[in-house]
Amino acid sequence: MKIHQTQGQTILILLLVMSVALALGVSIIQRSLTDVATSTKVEQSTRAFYTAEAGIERALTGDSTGVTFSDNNSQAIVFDSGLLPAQSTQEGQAGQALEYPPVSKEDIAQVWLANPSTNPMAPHYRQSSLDIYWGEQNINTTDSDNMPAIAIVLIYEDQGEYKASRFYLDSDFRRIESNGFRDATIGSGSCGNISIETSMGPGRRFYCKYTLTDLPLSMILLRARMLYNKSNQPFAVGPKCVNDDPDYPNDCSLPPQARVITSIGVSGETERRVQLFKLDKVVPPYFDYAIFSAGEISK
Amino acid sequence: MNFFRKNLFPQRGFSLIEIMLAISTISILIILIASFPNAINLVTKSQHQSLAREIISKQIEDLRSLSYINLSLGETQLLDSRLSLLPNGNGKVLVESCDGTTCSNNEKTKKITVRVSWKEGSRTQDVNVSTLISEGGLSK
Repeated sequence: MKIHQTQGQTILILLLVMSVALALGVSIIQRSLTDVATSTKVEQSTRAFYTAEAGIERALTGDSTGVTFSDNNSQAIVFDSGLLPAQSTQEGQAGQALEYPPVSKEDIAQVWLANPSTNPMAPHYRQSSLDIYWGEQNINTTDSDNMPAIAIVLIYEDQGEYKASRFYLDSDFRRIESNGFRDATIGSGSCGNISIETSMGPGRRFYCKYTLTDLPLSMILLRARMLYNKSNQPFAVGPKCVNDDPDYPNDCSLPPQARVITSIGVSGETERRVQLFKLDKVVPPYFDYAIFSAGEISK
Repeated sequence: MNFFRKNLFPQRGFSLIEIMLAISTISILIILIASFPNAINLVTKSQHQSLAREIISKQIEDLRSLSYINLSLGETQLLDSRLSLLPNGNGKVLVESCDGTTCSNNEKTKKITVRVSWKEGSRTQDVNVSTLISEGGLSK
């Protein structure tokens, strides 16, 4: 007895063709949907960025309440840090350290030690020691090319004359023989896991810390130039209270001199954050050449 | 007897399930094919959006590089060679004094609105971005 079995390949072929076409169609539609979603987000992100910049522009005119653009539904929230670094609240205790945004090679970070807002400039920091922090924490110590050194010029006043004191600190002890810098890994310095609170917030990390000692009275300005580094690395200066000036035993704060304005722009679902570090008074860039020149500088 | 006859003379044709499967297969295929043009339009639209955004960004950065006094109030046409890549593309730059609600302190600030519009099929699409530029601000 034969049992007749139905034969036919049509349905099978149809199923195969259908699955291929389905796969193709679904992938095309998915790509185009993703594309649209991405370009909408990017457009909103651009709007958020320019709104954040608008918030900073307003804050620079003195108004840090933020910005709202009702016609394209975007707004910016602004945080003004006020004058930095924060002063110490207790006698004999250190005020806040001042941190610079990352400094590139041969770039100069400037920290006032006298108060730049007064005229004539009134001395503000009256300790004979100062802590210098620099370098990014997770630095590759085998790559000597990126390990930073600092050349510091300290301007101070001595009986009506302005003088300069220089310090050279190197985080890489292997270079000491050739460049004659101070080894920051020993003695008054240490390199490794440094974490302190600065004007940028708590838990800020650096590679090296060095304490300058026996500094003169009436310090005015500290200018630090970062050397050897390939990437931009952080830099900070902090007060070190030794309280040994008999006339001003408790002035252990850096003078207020900077401001950080943070603006967060929001548009749709995207957010952009812009931060501005502003120093009110800076000496002009040819200042370094004035220190070294024998004659007068004509600008 | 009926049982044997059915097996001796099998009926030829398509079963119901086969027909239903074939119809559903073909209908899915038709739906997919019909949505292809739609997908292509979507991709084109997002490309145009990206281009409009680039044009606006460049315009705002150019305005920031001008000094505050040279920012003349009023509406001007956006001049950018890339606008021709957008179908019926045109752009406007509006510079106005910051109004009382946004700038409550009468500070010297101008509000810049850059708008780019183009035609997508029969509909008009537009992108607009606003920012503030003030005297002694970021561009100083």
